[in-house]
Amino acid sequence: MTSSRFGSFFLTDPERFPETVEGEPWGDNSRLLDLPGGPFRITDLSASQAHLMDREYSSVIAETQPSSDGLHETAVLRVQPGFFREFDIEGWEYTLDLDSTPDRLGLAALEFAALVPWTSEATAGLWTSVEDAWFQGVIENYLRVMVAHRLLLRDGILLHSAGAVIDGSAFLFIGASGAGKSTLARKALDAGAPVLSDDLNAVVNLTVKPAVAQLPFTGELRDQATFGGTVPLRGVFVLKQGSSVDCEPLSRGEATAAILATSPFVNRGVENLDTLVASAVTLTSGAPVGRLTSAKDTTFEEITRAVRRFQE
Amino acid sequence: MLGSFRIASDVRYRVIDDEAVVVRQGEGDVLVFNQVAARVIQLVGEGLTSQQIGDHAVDEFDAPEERIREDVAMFLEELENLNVVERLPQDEKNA
Repeated sequence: MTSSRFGSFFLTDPERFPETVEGEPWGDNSRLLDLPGGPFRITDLSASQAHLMDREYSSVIAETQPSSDGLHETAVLRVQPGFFREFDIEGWEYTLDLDSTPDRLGLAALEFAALVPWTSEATAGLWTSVEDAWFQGVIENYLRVMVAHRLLLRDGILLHSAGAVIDGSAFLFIGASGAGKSTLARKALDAGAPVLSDDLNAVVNLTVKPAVAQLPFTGELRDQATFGGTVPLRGVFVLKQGSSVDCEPLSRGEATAAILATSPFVNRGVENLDTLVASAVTLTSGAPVGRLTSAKDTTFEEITRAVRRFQE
Repeated sequence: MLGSFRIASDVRYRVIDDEAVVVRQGEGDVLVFNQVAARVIQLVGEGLTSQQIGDHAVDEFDAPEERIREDVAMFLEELENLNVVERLPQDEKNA
């Protein structure tokens, strides 16, 4: 996708991107999600939209507000289908448009647009024309962006990574698409090791004691991720393909760069860069970062041994 | 070595253990630079002219002056080509 103007790929008329959170609610249902960076309350849902959220996020839906501060609220508002451009998604790699200013974050994506004021108490708006199964994709892609931004403000960082639990501790394996995250996660599953996610993992408590909190967002594994909860973080590894298995340390500069490159969404806006760089530096201080080279036929047991040797 | 530079507006950097980690928001990527380049970036960030950056580098690094000045000039050119730094307009430089 190449478009010079924010929203022009997704919106029929980018000029109509909303600049205030106003519109017609879909309904009067709301759901509270206890996610890292949250809690998040999604309001003005139709019954159908609320049902979809119940089905997909049962493990993180809360009845009462889990903490007294930091609640982020989003109203789901209705727009007509013609608000969004129609295009063939066959073979299309998912992406979205972000427009970050000092006052707010604008989002334009497949079947939704969102306006998120940076003021914590202000309600965000999510405009969509769907309430069927498509809404599941809409709300998940919105939540991924929100978790990334909110985590950064709350002593955390979201990493595009595979997460596995070894010896009771979490290890994250980072890399660009195609680096082998899902393959590694699948090897871990096959070996009986708990897997947090093959796509996105939330690192929390960065400055105190970094830990990985599982998110209900997975890539190719979908609902096969087996572990729930929060686990202490013991190491982060940049994935590299090679002919044998090996772990080597990275300089702190290389480690910081690797973390920055795999912090989705927030590394695309100038507004967040200072905080993001500081968080990445903090993470490299709190957990060792190395490079894991492995081959296609490397087993998870071999990876585990290499990781243990690296830890020693 | 001609011209003066500033850090591009969409760039953030941090010097960590003598290496510079540079985020180029416009390009959507992250770069790591060695010790000399890191110092050049730092000095550009402090608003020094190219000449002053060369003078600092000569004082700080243990190598022949001519080679250091050549390295600094080369790094500045490379950083400009990578859109990490941008050349100040002549009138702004003289302001």
